[in-house]
Amino acid sequence: MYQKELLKGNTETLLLSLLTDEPMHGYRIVREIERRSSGYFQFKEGTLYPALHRMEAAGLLSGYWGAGTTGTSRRYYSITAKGRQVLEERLEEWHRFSRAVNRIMLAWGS
Amino acid sequence: MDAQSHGYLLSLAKQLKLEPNTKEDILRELEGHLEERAAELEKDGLSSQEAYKQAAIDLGRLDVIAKDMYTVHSRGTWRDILLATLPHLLLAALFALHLWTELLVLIVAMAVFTFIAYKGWKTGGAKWTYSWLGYSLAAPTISWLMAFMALGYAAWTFVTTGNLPFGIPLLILLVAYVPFSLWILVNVTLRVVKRDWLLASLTSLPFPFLTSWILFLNWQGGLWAGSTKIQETDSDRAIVFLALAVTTAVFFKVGRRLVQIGLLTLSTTLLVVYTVVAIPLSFGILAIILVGLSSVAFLLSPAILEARLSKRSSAHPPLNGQGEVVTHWFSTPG
Repeated sequence: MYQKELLKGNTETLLLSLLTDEPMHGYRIVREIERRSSGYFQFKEGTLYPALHRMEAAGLLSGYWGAGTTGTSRRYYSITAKGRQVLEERLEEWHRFSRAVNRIMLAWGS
Repeated sequence: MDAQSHGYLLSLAKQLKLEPNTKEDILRELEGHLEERAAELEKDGLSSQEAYKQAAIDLGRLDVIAKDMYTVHSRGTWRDILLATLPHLLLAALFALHLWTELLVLIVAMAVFTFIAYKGWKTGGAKWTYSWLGYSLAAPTISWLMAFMALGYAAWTFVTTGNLPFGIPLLILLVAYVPFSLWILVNVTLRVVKRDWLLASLTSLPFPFLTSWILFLNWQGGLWAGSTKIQETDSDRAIVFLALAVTTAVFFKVGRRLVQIGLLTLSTTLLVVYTVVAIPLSFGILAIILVGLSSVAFLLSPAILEARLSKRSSAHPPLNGQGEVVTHWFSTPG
């Protein structure tokens, strides 16, 4: 439950981070997130697409049609300049937040 | 594509209440996802049928996907909002400036409403088109109602006096016009309801207020009767159409469907009560409540029609020209 909440609050940042390397289609995004997090994050596939569309509508991502591996076309998403700027701001905030959390939580743990 | 996967996407297609192009893109995107996931599962040893079934389960609940997609895509841009509110604002201006008494202005306004609704419909049927469609349907609706009443009056006069109140050519014209205008109305209504009953409600939003205006005009002896009282309620009517513009703008800005339904219901109720109270006639509380309820029932009636149409189409799956069940309802982009 706690992991679910953490993922929910950071879905957009995770997607933006993932798409800085290269454009990807929805299925590839699901697999990449699973792979890079060593299976820790498992996206509910159906919730990914509304998130991608919402980010596209907000101008953070740009979608276009391209060729897929099974022959039919796929919708790819790439990060926009606005998306990169938002990502930078969020990563900066994330660093400040995690440092502050670590100072409190890890001090208790040690 | 597997029949189960096709069934999954077909069910999603029914639940996605979006513009045809957007809907098509979403379905194509999810079809790609299902194919890729199923191919991977087949490599793991599942049969084609099992793989597609599992892929559909992994993708998740249709109603949740449809609801989330609706929330994302139903929010209009500022351009959409401007275009959707414009016909209501034009009506408000016609009443505020008392311009509706000029026949030429009315004809030009009707032509503009019909032209824009037709062009918008032909170029993909963007959501803002439906506001214009509502006003462009006012002419066939009102003329149908008047022709129907004239026929009823003729029948009554003939039965009671043995004479017709007007000549045979006009009678033939009326007999031909009533089914013709009804055919136009039924056709357009069915097309709109098939796409989304809520859009049909948005289209019919001005109808209770236009009807009340026509009834008021009739009560005053008609448009050209020369009565000075016919402009008495113009300011109130301008306010009502201005409020319809605001309602439409909010409708386009809120994404959630339930909020949109609640907004149309509440706004119509309040404005109908305001309209009835503004007419220089005394109505009882019961009459006001009945008028309000019947207006809301009229506005939400497309939901019942859609449910009936959906039931009928479920019993008859779509067929292509050769009588085969359609398994691919969109083409690959060129």
